[in-house]
Amino acid sequence: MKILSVSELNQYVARVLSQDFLLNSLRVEGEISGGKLYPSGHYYFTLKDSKAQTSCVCFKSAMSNLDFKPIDGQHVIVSGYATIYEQGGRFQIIVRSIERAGEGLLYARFVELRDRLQKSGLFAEERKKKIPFLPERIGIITSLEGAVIRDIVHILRRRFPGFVIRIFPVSVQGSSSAQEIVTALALANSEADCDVLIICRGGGSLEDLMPFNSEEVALAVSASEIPVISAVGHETDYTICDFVSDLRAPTPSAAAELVLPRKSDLLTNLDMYRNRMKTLLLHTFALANSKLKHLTERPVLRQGDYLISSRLQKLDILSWRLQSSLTAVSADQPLRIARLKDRIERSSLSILQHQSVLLEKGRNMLRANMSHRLSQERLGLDKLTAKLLALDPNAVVRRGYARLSCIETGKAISSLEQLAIGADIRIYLADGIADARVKELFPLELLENLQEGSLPD
Amino acid sequence: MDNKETQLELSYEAAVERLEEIVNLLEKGEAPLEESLDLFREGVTLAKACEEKLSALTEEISKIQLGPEGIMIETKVEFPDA
Repeated sequence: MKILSVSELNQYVARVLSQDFLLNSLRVEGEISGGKLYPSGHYYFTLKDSKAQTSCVCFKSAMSNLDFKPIDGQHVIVSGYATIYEQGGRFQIIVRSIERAGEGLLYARFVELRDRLQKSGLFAEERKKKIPFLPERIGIITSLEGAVIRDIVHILRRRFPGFVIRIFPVSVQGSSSAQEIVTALALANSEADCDVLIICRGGGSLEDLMPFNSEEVALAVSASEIPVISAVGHETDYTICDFVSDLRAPTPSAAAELVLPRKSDLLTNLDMYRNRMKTLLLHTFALANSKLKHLTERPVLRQGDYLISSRLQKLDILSWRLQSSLTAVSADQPLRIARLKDRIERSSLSILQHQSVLLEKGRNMLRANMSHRLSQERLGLDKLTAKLLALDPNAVVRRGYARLSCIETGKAISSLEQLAIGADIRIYLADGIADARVKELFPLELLENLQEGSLPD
Repeated sequence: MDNKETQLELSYEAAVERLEEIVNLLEKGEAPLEESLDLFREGVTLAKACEEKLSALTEEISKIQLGPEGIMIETKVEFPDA
């Protein structure tokens, strides 16, 4: 086997490449990165796709008839021939011309990747994670410059004062953008302890949005443990990042409105629960009260009296019948019967009397017992009502006062310092709530040195 | 895969769920008087706790970047009001 020198090897490879039909008239599509224009007028750059890259050189002559200025991140179609740079032993493309990859080509690439990822189940609903209702720390992957992050901050300040956001600054277009997003996602998932992530950028051309259509970003988003909200471009723009994310927001501002509820809604909600509980409790008390009253009128109590008086009545009838039968008997049997009659009379009367005394005592005991029970119940009820009133923050309100709270923060207001002219406050009155705006503030000292009744109107 | 419940969210959502439960119990009206009052007391306390938690929150905005040795650096970011 003949031993070659390096230059012989490289020359051989150059010859092989030059005889290959395809490599001699190439058209290659990819993204420009690391482009450098030398004083010589030659332009060296790398052409890459999501998995590979190759180096290219466009000599001065070819550069002059380009109809655009190539810059990093642009998607282009390069035509030329492949060769080996013999000194360096490096495979490269000698570029004759470069043309911008039209929207059509970019879109075709987008559709192709989207369908492939869809088939692999990356967009499946079951993979979508739940967005937390009230995230404590929100991670935002976007550019620090530009209006997007400023809009999000202002929207969140209006909706939910006291939010916490951690921004992961990335470039949102150009060749390094996709990789920066992937790094940010990894960082967020490893250390930054966020509860939700928003990946967002403003509107742009399909080329500007390409990083969000890259496979590397798609894979990174789907691998994220933390739920991801994607808000890329205008409402009408759909990127692969949107499809693979756990929630797509039409725009970055919409994402801000989705990620946190309005704090004033939460506070009103709590107020609603408090009032609901109070009304229900008062209702339960009223029910108990009426049950008690109802109990006292129940026939079984009155019946007690009824049973006793009917028993007494029966006794009267018996004694009357006894009397009359005895008189009938004694009419025809003189002395013996008279004595017998006497004894019967005395013993039955004593029985009758004894019975009625017992019954009388029973009735009184029943009555006493009942009233004792009733007063016990009433006492218990009054004690509980008192406890309720003590608890009820609005008790004061019922006695004609009002309770104020700041609509935004929900804090109770007790002094002028907490107020400013134009501040929105919520007034709690006995029969409802009123929202108002402060018109004028009169501190105590001002009032004191004014004469009575001459308050400035 | 369930995601990490945050402390604030867990307590807030759990609290609201309990409030809902209390309202339902009071609505059924089966609980004896003393117990209804205890339920009411628990509900009022829960609502107050949530309100305080919400009002106590303070705004924090920071940016996170990878430092030289690959360690995370967090720095505060100012956003003046519009």
